[in-house]
Amino acid sequence: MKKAIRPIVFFLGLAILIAGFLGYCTPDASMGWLSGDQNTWNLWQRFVTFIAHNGETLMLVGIGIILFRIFVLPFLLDKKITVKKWRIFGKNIPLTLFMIPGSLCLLLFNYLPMPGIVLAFKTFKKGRHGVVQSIADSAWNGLKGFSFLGTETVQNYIRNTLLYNLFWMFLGLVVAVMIAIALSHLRNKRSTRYYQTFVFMPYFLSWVIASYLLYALISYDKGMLGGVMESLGVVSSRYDLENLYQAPQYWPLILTLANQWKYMGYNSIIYTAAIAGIETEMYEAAMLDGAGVWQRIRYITIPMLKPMMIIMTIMAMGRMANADFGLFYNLPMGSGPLLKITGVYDTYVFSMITGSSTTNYGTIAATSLFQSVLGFVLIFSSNMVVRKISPENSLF
Amino acid sequence: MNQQSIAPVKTERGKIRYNANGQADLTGISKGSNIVLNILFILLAAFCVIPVLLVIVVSFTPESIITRRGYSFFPAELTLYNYEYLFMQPKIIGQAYLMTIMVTLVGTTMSTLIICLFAYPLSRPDYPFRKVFTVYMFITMVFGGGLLPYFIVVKNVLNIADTVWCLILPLLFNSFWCIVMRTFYQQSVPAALIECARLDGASEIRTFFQIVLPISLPGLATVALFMFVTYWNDYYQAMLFLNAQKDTLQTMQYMCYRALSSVNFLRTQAANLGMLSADQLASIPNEGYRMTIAVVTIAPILCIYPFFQRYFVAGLTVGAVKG
Repeated sequence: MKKAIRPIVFFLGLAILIAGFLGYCTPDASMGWLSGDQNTWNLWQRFVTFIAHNGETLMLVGIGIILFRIFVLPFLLDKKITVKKWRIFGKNIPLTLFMIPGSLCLLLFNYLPMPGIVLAFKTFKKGRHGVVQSIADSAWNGLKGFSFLGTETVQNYIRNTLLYNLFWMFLGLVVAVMIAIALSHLRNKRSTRYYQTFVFMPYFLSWVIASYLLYALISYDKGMLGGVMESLGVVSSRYDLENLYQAPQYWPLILTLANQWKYMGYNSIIYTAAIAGIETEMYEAAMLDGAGVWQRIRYITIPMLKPMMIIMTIMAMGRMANADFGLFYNLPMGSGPLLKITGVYDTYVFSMITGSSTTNYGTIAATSLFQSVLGFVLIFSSNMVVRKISPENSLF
Repeated sequence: MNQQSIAPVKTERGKIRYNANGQADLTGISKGSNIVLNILFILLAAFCVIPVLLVIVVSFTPESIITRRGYSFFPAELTLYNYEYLFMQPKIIGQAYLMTIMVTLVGTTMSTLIICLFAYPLSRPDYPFRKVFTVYMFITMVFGGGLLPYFIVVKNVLNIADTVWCLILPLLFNSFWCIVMRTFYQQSVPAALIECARLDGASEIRTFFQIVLPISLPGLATVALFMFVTYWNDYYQAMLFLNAQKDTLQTMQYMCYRALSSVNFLRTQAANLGMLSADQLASIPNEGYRMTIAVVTIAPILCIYPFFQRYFVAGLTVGAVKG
């Protein structure tokens, strides 16, 4: 019996908390959740009305019971264990103090926004007492905020996000592994370092700067591309060239090049390190057996890199819901005709937040909630796969 | 490998070369393919570097030539006028530059300290709340409230939009570097050393600052460098939270973003300060000047990067062990 007290108290608290929350969400008891037939089941109706009217109080009571379960009940039930627990806590106070600044940052910028998810299920109406109070006061509207998923524009953004990420995931893998293997085969080791330095460098430039570089290369009347084509005689005048900022068909290529420009050095570093870690005896043995360069790559290097390749790919899969905001936002420089090709989820949400009034906050929140959930599902499923393949590389 | 015992081993089909240090050259390729590979790598390096070089050259090109001939690697003449003009405008550029430096310095120091502090107990196997805090950090890595709630929290709850803090605080904690740092502690700080310090009566705080931190200086350097780059390159926070009407808080990256997105941004800004007459205003170099600002913005990164490259590489390699 004594053993059962703790879970019972805990779940009681949780149930009251959830009931209170549901009641709090229900603006009108007769219209809200679970409303029974008014005439036949009077007691149930009363119960629902009570919850709907006292939602906030019930939530507080629920939280109170859970806190009671955590901080008071153990003391009452078993003095010894709890004293021991407190002693452990007391002994580790200095180390716990180390955690405080970081925990505070996480709390403020990662946990505090989380309750804001409720906005996705509300119609935001700006009140007089600030945004937070307005969120609390706004009416619930169920899943209506998610109707945006049906619009063609948003479907296009989601498709762009996933397709670009999927394509770049494989392209990035192939390019990075190729660079790493080629680097390891160069005979002049000093120039190897220089190549690595140059290829890694773009990673440290922001996308804003990258947009300058791209602008200098391909802008319509002044870009270097036009000048080069003019002097090579491909076109008679650089004004004959198409304005690339108005021509969406070239942008998948431009974005892909930009993505590889920035990330190929970064991606290849891990593989370079992995190749350096391969034991030389293996190559030695292979060479004595007469294996050529290609055979050594095919039968030693690539199999040795395989686990790393799998892990990196699966981790990239977990990030697939999030597009690289800077790339898609800065490089096209807000050009309207490109939007169909270069618009992705992140830029869509961003432009909605910065560009609009507060009236469609509900839709925006629903949009980003959808992305969060998609990302969450992707991370968990990809991690499950990693755990199957190699448990020591799984994220959790 | 012992140096004396080395003699080239020849087999029927393969042969092993040895280099001057006596190590077997196991991955080497023939001279011809080496040259081909080098050429390919030179092209690849050019692909990475040429855009940057172009912008640097453009920043030295006079405005008249840009208007007539466009951006080019070999302009008819070079000038320092863009840079002179830049230094004549301490109010706009100087302020943004100081702002960037300040945000970067304060942010890097604070975040490196916070990350190192947070990662240390996580690396201690005898710390009983390790799991609790790992989960606490981990949840934020897989799930977030989304951009809008974050925006509302910073702007309306914490009320730090349009202050310096909105550029510094949101980037302070970084879970990825925290995990890297934790791995680094685990690899470089022996548990016996901490135990010794404890037996000698050193407090946890003293152990950390006098023993653990000095040992893990390379890891700390990596985190600090990456945070430096993060803060220096950040424009996203500014784009979200800074009021476009107020110029006092803008950082260089944000200024670059605005200068490129609106053609006359720099002219308007100069005019707002009211220091110029109408025809002076018209003579402001625009195209080349923009590129000059970009060059000035990336200069510190490009300058420190070659010297600290191995730290960057080391950090990423450690991170890959358990990302």
